[in-house]
Amino acid sequence: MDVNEKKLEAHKKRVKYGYLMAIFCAIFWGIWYVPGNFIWGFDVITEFQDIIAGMGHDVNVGFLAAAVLITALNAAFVIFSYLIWNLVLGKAKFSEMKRSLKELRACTKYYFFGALCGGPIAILGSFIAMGYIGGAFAAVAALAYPVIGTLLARTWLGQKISHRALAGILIILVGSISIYGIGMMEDLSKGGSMIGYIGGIMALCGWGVEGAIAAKGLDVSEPDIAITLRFAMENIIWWVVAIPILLLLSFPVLEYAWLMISDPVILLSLVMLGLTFGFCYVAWYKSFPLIGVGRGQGIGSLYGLCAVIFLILFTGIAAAGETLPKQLSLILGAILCTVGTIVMFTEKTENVECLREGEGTEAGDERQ
Amino acid sequence: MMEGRPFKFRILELLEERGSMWNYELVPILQDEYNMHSDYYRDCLNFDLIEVAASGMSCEVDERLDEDESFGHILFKYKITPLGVELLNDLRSKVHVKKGE
Repeated sequence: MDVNEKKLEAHKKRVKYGYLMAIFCAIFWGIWYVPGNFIWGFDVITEFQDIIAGMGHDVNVGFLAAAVLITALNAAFVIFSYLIWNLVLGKAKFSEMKRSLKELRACTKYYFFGALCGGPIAILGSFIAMGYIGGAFAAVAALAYPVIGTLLARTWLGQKISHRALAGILIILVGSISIYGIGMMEDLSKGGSMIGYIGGIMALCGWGVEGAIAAKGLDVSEPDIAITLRFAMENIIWWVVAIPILLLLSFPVLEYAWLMISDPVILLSLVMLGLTFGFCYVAWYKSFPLIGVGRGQGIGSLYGLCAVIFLILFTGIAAAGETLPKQLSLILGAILCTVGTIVMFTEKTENVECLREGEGTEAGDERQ
Repeated sequence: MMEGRPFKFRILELLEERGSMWNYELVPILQDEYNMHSDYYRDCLNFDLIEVAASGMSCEVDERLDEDESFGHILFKYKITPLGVELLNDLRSKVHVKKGE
């Protein structure tokens, strides 16, 4: 094998690794819905919402407060999984983390804004959409996030995106939306709600913008470090800002957080939440520097399909397909997701060799 | 200026200061500076070079077969791109000031 063939092979390997990471992200995100679904069924969560309703607040206020509590605990357990992850990777990673943390203006600021977009804006927006309109509407709003991510990656970061990759992303999006499409129509037919639509837009923009901001930060730091710092920031937002706000409203949030942690079954669910969400995010961040934000998010949105599959496998809950039309749209969605993935996988490696417009081709003129 | 700062800051600076460099030249410098002497860390730092190139901050200007396969099957020579220089200058204006600087 000559040097050109080896070079092509090395590039193919890099791109394949990037896609593999994006697929891992979708799989872990899909699995996350299993403990994510369980956690809402525990009595402590219902009790917590009842107490808030008993204080004279609207039902949705109790729902959102419970969402903040669960998301804050989720973020805390994600950080624990990253401590283990970075220990496995070696002590040099901790030194690099310290070095990166010191560079607030040059690097850490991206993770603060990334955490703000992906945490309170996207997750809370998703819960608002779920509470005020419905689960299927919230799923569709969140699944469309690669549209924003790809647009920003193209315009703000200057990342090039081929027609083929764009076609793949769109096919996956149509497929993912089709999975929840009929459910979304049912949600919307109930009348909708302005607050719910705002929640949907928050989810759509939050994750999309986070991807672009993260890619900017990943230009100057390693993905494992970047994601740990991003979740450290998210924990600060939840535990230093959001939870104290709930405490000021006299919600018994710390008492219920303790009740959840001290129950072995709920604790196990929280550990599962932390591990699955943690590794889904590691994989998501690892894919961006190798295949770009658009492709990473496009493949990542396969989580919609993965969630349905894992929920059926582990819990028997047919979240998206209780009736025949829904089952048919689920099958159609799954086929489209598979086709979209194949379209992207079979893209020529040269298109992904350098993610930014012009920079890779320039190399050809400068060869010595 | 970027010594002792995050890896990618230093990679960009070394590429700018020394012109184009092979990965087998750049990685040992980083291993010495950051005290990361193992094959595992060599591979980690080599992967950082790959990421910097993929993001368009550097580009491959030459390649040759890796005889002892310590960097995979192929060795790459990298050169900083105008976008990489722009990023490096931006980083220089934003890094925190160390004692004695």
